[in-house]
Amino acid sequence: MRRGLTRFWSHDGRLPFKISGLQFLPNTPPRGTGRNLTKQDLGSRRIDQIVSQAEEQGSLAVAISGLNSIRHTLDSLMRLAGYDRPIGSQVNVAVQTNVNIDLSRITERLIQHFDNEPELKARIAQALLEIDDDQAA
Amino acid sequence: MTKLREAAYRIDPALWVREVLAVEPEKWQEDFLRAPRGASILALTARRNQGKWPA
Repeated sequence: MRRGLTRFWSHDGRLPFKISGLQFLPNTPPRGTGRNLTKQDLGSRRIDQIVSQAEEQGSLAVAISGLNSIRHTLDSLMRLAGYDRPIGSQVNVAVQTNVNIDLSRITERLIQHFDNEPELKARIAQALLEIDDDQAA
Repeated sequence: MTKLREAAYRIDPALWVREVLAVEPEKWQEDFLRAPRGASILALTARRNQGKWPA
């Protein structure tokens, strides 16, 4: 028998956990696909329930610890996805847009670092040019 | 010109000469173009009838 915690994502909305061969399924019928999991499906309440059940049945402490760590991950994902807020509330995502500035800095550092190695500078420049051509194609 | 291409030309000006000016630099010209910043380089230029310009 496979021991320990097995993680998988089902496509029918089932809770994605198995412990030592025991499969825990949600009490409620599946809703939508795996990508449309509801707050109840992802919520920590169900995981708390599983942890309690595992403790009662004398499962491995490692499994309980693993579930707890997954709960923290799910909590973070829920906050990022906005599942912890009422439906319709806005979720702001910050995107870093100063890539070009970083490229200028990187270029400057490359020139400074390899200024006394002209052959290497030529090879780096040629590589950058090839990347640019690939992106344009 | 993309930022990536600009970076490539900044790192290797000889590449810029080839790609943009469509000129194949000679070896000594490549060395000159890829010289380190602040390098002590003495450039002597000469051409025929240099002293007669402007006419």
